[in-house]
Formats: sequence, structure tokens, C-alpha cells
Amino acid sequence: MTKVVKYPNHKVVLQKASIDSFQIYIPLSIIGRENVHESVLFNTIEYIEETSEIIKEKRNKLKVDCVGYSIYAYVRNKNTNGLVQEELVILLNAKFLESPKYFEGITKDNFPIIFNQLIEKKVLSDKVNYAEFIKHSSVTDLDVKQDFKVPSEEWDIIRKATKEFKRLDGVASIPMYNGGKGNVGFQFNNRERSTMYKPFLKGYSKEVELNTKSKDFKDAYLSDVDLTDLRRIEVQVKDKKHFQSFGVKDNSLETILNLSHKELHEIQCKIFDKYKPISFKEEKVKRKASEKLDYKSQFIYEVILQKMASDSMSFTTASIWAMNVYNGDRKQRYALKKTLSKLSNHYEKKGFNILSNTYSFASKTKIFQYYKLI
Amino acid sequence: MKRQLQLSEVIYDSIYSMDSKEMKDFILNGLKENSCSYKRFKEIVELQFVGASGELSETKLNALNSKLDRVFECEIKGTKEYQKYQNVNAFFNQFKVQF
Repeated sequence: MTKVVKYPNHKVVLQKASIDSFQIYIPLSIIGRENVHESVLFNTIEYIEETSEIIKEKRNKLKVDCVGYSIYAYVRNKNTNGLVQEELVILLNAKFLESPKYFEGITKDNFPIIFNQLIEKKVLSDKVNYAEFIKHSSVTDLDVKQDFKVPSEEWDIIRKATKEFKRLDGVASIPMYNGGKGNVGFQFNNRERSTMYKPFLKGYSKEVELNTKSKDFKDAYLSDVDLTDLRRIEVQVKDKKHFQSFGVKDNSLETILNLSHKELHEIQCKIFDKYKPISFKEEKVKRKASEKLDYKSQFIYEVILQKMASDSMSFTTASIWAMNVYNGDRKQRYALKKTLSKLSNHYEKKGFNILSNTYSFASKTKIFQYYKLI
Repeated sequence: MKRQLQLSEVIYDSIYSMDSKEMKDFILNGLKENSCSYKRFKEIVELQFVGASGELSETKLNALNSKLDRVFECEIKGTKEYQKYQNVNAFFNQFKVQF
């Protein structure tokens, strides 16, 4: 469901997936070399003066500083089956909209504004044809975002819950994102290292981000926006193959701009799916398999448990007792020690897990005292 | 005769014997510690009875669930405290993620 929250002078659209940014690639042969900012056409060469030996040659990058954001562009050589073609690469961002429209994200309806910005900031000349530009540009590194109003108390629960997110095969690493200055959130992988198998996913406070990192932008264009408790979920689609894995036919700009909110949301769901916690059913199967002890260990485990109950011992004390009464040789005693250590983990996981997680210490102590487990 | 000890039984008894105030605290602590919905919390409880320490009978599990449900319905469900968990649940549901 789409919820529109009205503020005095404008609307912020919440709970609607939209495009925040992407990189576009367009062949120079389509737009014409003469129609791009000339600085990107030159290379910088580092060489040894005495010998004229070239050490390094790199393409110039264009950076246009605007109020609260920058435009980046450069030219790269694309090699397709031996055919080298120059392409202009531009990083586009919803900030180009320079208004509260920023929250709408980049759409096919507001793309003319973005295109005009490129002309106004002289990245492109006004001779570039809009329709041709749309038709021949391709997209990578697409960021899909969705904004929510989530109070801190609930955001804390969300953050904590995502710590438990991991797939059965354990693919996800779970670094906790902390954008500094109190911007806590969660993050899976990062933009640089992400792949279609381990995609980038991030949740953070848009309110804090706009009041710190993007303060100039906020002050210039969003001064009358109520940003209280505004959170953002962001996912990234890397490349054509990644788009196709979501059923998107290709990565042309035309196709991407025509993706509906629903389709963009589906992409977000599928990326979340990579990191969502394993289901109860899966967990049950996994637990059954992983906790199955071999018959020798099971026997030792039972003996230890009975000793604990009859003599009011802790697991550690019962293990020491087992080592003392066992008459095996050095090798056998070492094997028993190893088994006991393994069983100690098993016991802790099995016997204390639920109570340590969910029950107060005083009550837990009472129970374990009753059963003579401590 | 020495009492046979099964951890699953110990855990079951310790939960089942709680009075409603203790059980309310048990559920609320569980939701907080595990950052999960009540549905997920019950699954976590059930998972304690899976594995090598002896599985709990279906009858006992149902009895435990009924008692937990009763306390949840009467003491927790409509409270402001639980509302935030419902909101978080709605948030994750949008992304088809179980909370």
C-alpha cells in the first residue's frame, strides 16, 4: 500500500520503491565527441622528463560541483569482441532533481529534468538528442530505495533482528552499518564488493544522513521537509546479468526507467531474500542434523548428565570427575577430553540457550538449582 | 532410584510451571532478547526441544503452546509494548521477510 504523508509545502512519498541513482554508459559515436565536456576527452600522462618514458596514462575525470552534490563523468573504452568503442560514463543521482522531488527518485517523468541538468552543467551540449540518449544508454549499479518513517525504538528492533539474518548456507556476512554521528543501521556487503549472489543491502537513517553528510543539499532544497524518523532501505543491482536474474529483459536506460514501483519493490524483496533468516522448517532440519551425536558421545553425554543430577555437579565438575575415573591410556584420555569439550558446547547450546536468552537470571538460577544443575 | 534427566523435560517443566506473570515476563524478555515476533518466539521455544536431548511429545508441546498463547492473548497482544513488534513485523512483511 502506498502511503502519502502531506507536509505543508509538498509531499514525501513513503513506502514506494524508486530509483535513487545509477551509472549510465552511452557510446560517444551516438552523441558525438563534440557534444561532451571537452575535459573528459583528454588523457593525463605522467612521464620521465629526461627520457620521455610514459609511466602512467589515465583518462581525465570530470567533477562538477553543484550545491550539495557533484556530477561525475568520464570516458572509457569498451571492448566488444575486439571492437573498441568509447563510452561516456555518468553517475546520475536523484539529487540532480534539486527539490523535494528528490524523494520521488528518478522516474521516466522527471528524467527530462536530469537530462537538462547535464546540459545546464555543460556535461553534455544542448545538441544531444534526448530520445537518442534514452535509447542508447545502458545502466549499471542501480540503487533502488524505499523511505519509511520508523521511530527509533522500532528501528532498534529492526537493526537487532537483522543481526540474525543469515542463510542456511551461511553466505551472508553481517557487518553492522554505522554511518557515524548516530546514523546506525544495517548493511550486507558493500557497493564495491557486491555481486548478484551477495548483493548490497543497507538500511539507515535518512534523517541523520541529510542532517550531516548531505546537509548542504538538505539546506538548499529540503529545508521545509519534516525528516523526523525518516529511514531508507537501499539495494543495488550491479549489471545486466543481475537485472536479468530479476526478470528484467535488459539494462537499457529505456527499460530501467519503465520499471514500475512494484517491479522495483520486487527487486528489493528478492535481494532481502538472499539475507533473510532461515525458516523454522529449515532450522529444525539443520538442528536435527547438527545436534545428532554419535553413539559413543551420546553415551558419555548421558553419563555426565546423570552424574550432574545425582551429585549436584556442574557440567565442568562432572567432566573432571569423568577424566579422573577413566583408566584409559594417554591417547584414549586425550580422545575423552576432546569429546567432553565438544559435549560442553553441545550442553551449553542445548541446555542453557533458551533460558539464557529469554529468562531472567534469578528465575534461571531457581530452575537450575531445583534440578541441581549448578 | 536416581532420576533420569532429560534437558528437554527440564526446559519444558521450567516454562510450563510459570505463573502468568512469570510467563508474561518470559515472553516479553524473549521478544526483546531475540528481536522477533511472537510467532517466531514460539518457534525458538520449540527449537529447544529438537535434537539429541530428547524430543518433547506432541501433547506436551501443544499444552505449552496453549499456555503461552493464553498469556500472550490476555496480557500482551493488545498492549502498547507489543504494538512496536507488530509495526516491525509489518515492516519486514513488506519485504517478505519473516520477523
